[in-house]
This record gives sequence, C-alpha cells and structure tokens, in this order.
Amino acid sequence: MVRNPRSRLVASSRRQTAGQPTPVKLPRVIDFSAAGTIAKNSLRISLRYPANFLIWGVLPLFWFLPFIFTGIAFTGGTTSASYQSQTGYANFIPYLVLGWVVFTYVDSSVWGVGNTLRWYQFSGVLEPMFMIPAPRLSILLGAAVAEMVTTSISTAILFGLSLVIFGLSFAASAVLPVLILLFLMIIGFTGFAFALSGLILVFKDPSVLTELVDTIIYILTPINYSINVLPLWAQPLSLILPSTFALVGIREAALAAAGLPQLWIDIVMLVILDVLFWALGMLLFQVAEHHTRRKGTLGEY
Amino acid sequence: MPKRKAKEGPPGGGGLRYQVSIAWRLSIKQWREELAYPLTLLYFVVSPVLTLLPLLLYGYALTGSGTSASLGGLTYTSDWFAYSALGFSLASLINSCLWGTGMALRREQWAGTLESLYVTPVSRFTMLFGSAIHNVQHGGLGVILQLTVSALVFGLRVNLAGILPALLAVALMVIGLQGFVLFFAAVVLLARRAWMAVELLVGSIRLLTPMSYPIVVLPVMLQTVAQGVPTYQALEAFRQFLLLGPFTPAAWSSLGLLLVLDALVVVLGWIVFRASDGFVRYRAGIGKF
Repeated sequence: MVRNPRSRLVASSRRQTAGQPTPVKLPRVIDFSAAGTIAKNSLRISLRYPANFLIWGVLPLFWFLPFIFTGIAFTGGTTSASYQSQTGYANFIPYLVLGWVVFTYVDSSVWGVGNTLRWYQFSGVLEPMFMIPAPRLSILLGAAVAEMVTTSISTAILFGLSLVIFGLSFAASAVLPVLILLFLMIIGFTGFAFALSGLILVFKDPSVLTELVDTIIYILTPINYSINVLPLWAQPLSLILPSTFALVGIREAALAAAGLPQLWIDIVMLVILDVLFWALGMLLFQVAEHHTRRKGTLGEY
Repeated sequence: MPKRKAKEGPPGGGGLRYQVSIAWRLSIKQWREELAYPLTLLYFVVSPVLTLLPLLLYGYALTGSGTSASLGGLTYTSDWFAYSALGFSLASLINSCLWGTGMALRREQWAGTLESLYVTPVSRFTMLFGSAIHNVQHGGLGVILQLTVSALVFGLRVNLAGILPALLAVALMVIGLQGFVLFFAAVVLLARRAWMAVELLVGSIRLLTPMSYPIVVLPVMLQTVAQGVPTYQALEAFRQFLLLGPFTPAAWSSLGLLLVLDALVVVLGWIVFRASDGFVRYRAGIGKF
C-alpha cells in the first residue's frame, strides 16, 4: 500500500495531540481571520510613513497633467468635437480626471498586491510568512485590503486636488453608484493580483512583468480615450477587464447623472468578471505556488 | 621567462583608464543582471510600441486625424504624431538615465552589496558612471527602437540631414542628465525613502520637458522654469533638427543654452553628491534603509 507522506505526518501529529483539545480545522482556501491580521499589520507599517499617502496623492497628477496639456495643445481648448463623437463627452478634463482616479486603484492592485510576495522576499520574510498556519492566499487578501485602504486615502487627496486645480464639481447623487462600481472593480482586480503574484513567484523579476501587465491594462482601459479608438481586435480584450465596465459606469454616473438602475449592465458584468477573476486568480496562484515549491525556488531571486 | 609582476596595491583613486574600465565592467554586470530575466528582453523589445500607443490613440480621439490646426498655430508643425513621437522617443532615455542611475546605489543597498562596493578601491563616481554607461546604452537602444517603429509602422518621416545635430543634442542632454543623476544619488544616500523625492523630481522634469505639447500651454511661471531645464532645451533642439533640418537657428541657440545649463547642473550635482557622501560616511549611515 502506498502511503502518502503527508497523511503520515497528519497521523503523527494526531498521536502527539491525543488527549488534548481537538485542533481547530484550518480553512483550505482563505483564512479571513489571518487575512485581517495581515491587513492590520500592513496598515500599521503603512501608517508609519504618512508622507506616502501625500506622495501617492500628488504623484498621479504628474502622470496625467501631460495628457491635459497635450489636449489643450491639440484642440486649442478643453473640448473637442472629435472627442465627443468618440467618447460621448466633449470636455476631456473631467473624463481624464475620473479615468486616472480609477486607474490608481488598478495600479495599486497590480503593483501593490501583485508584488506583495516579492517585497516579502526582499525583506527576508517570505519563507516565515509561508510557514504561518494559514492558506497563502490569506496573505495576499490581507495585503489587498491594506492596499485598498491606503489607496483610498491617497486617491481622496488626488481627487480633492484635481477638483481644486481644474475647478470641477460632480453631483452628490453620483457618490453611491461610483462607490459600488469602484468596490466591484477592486474585488475583480484582487483576483487578478492573485494570478500576478503566482506569475511573480515563478518568473521572479517583478518589475518587468508588472510593468508589462500594467501597461497593457492601461492601454486597454478607457482612461484617456474610449475603447472605440482601439483596433477592432483589441476591443474584446478591453471588455474582459473590470476597469472598463467600472469606468464606463462611473463616468455615466458622475458626468451624465445616471442612477443605479441605468448602470445595471455594468454592475452585472462586474460581478461576473469578479467571479471569473477570483476563480482564475486562485487557481493560477495555487498552480504557481505548487510549481515553485516543487522546484525549490521559493527563496531564489 | 620571468613572470610579469602583478601590479601591487589598490589602484583605486588613481588612473582614469582604470576607473573607466571598472565602469565598463559595472555596466556589463548590469546588462547581465537584466538579461538573466527572460521577460526583461521581451519587455525591452515591445515597450517602444506600448509606450507610444496610448498617446497615438489619445491624439486620434482628440483630433480625429493625423494633424492638429491648434498645434500648427503653436509650433512649427501641425503633424501631432511626428511632434509627439520624437518627444516620446527621448522620454525613454531620460527615464532610463534618471531612474536607472539615480537609484543605482539604492539597488545595491537593497541587494546588501553597497557596503562591499564602498570598500572596493573604486571611486563613488565610477560606480555611478558604470550605471550611467549601462543606462545610456539601454535608453539609447530604446530611442532607436522607438524611432524605427514610428517610421516603419506609423509612417514617421524625419529630415535626414538633421540627424547629426540631433545626435549632438542627445549627447549634450545625456551630460546634463548626469548632473541630475548625481543629485538623485545624493538624495538616495541621505533619505531612507528616496524614491519619493526621485519620483517627484522625475515627474517635474517630465512635465517641464514637454514630450507632446509646446511649453506655451503651461502656466507662465512653469514656462520660465522650463527654459532652465536642460532636457527641455535638448528636446526642442532634437525635434527641430529632425523636423526642420540642420539649419534652424532656434535649435542651435537651444544647444548653446544647453551647454551652459549642462555645466551648471553637473557642477552643482557633483558638489551635492560629494557633500552627501561625506556626510553619510561621517554619520556611518551607509547601510541604513
């Protein structure tokens, strides 16, 4: 009879704990309590550097101001008939501001959450983290929650600054739909970050992989332009990204005063994509983790 | 036959040739590190297209064509694609030089090799110079790739007679960038979270070095500041030489101003780096994060 070494370990551990209270059964996929602890820990570290929030609130301005100046140079103002026919909105400034505000969340999912394990590796704590008695995905989920909180603080700064600099205002009724759409998008990208973390475990160098993935998402998401201007073959790719539906819905809510009932297609699509991204993300991460551990390359750079 | 006696004693500090050869080896080491990751090569090849695409799509969404009357009124060309593609091609070189070399010491610190490097008989400037050689090669190849893609795929046409003076503008820009790099390296040594300062400074330089817009669209105060940024003068000269040809007086005057700015920036960067290096060593803070 072939015996699984793991079952022998379990049996031996059972013998050792005989007579003691039955050990708590560990969750197999995600331990939410461990994720909460990891999130608290990450937030505690982030709060030690309050300047980070300010920097990440200001930095994206440097990234999208060139687009605004380019728009002014190309159109001679802040509106364009061509832009209206492509996007449905003549004024490109609020369009760009909303696009970039939403993209900061995408960016933080890809860079922050996707690279979590690599940062742990650089800090020398990856192996100890992998030895905690909780599924590895809990580590990533904890990092994603912490990242969502810190990004929200920075994004609030960015949004506030943009309102002041460009003299923009949005209806208060847009807040609820925008928050719902944003939340659903973040959930989807958390699943995406699971997959990315798995790839980083395998390929090791996160800078290039992350840059590549981030740039492709950036091109396919309607941040600066509508997806109509993408080549025909690229348009379906844009439609499998949660950021596309989130941005379309958010703009409709904030710029065209659409309410939740009008946004149901975006919401349903986001829910479907969330389920798909989580399922695929978890699967890919587990395959990548198994591959890395089997090859013994976890600690390698 | 008697064995040739090996050179004794540390050659550090002496011999320009020795320092240059070390810098060259450091640059090769950096290439080896980069090419050890197969994805790096892939990204290097596709990045010229990937960085250009968003601008191309955005410009098309704004204008609906390849020209912009508004840009024509503000500059010497209404061909927004040619104007922006030339600007963006230099962006990869600027980024590579500023980020790559500016953060070189920090990367050694992360890898735990900064102290080891500091005790080798090599000047600090040689370490930065080695990284600079690598990043100029890396960024320079990026410029060539991007211009080739722009010409072959998107139909960019340049004035071939303007290539040599345009290369001169690039060379002078690279010299000016080393001043910024020395300054960034000084910040990296002094500040634990130097990337913030570097990120802000790089962002400011990029904003004031308009890749796809003329500086007249900037607020008046920023226009004045931009005039004193070497990368702006270099980019303007580069673009005018390639679009209007070598006999463009405005481009040559930009080059003249660039020479003066280069001297200023490099001397200032050198002073700041020397001072911060001395300070950090005095405070024994080399290994601190």
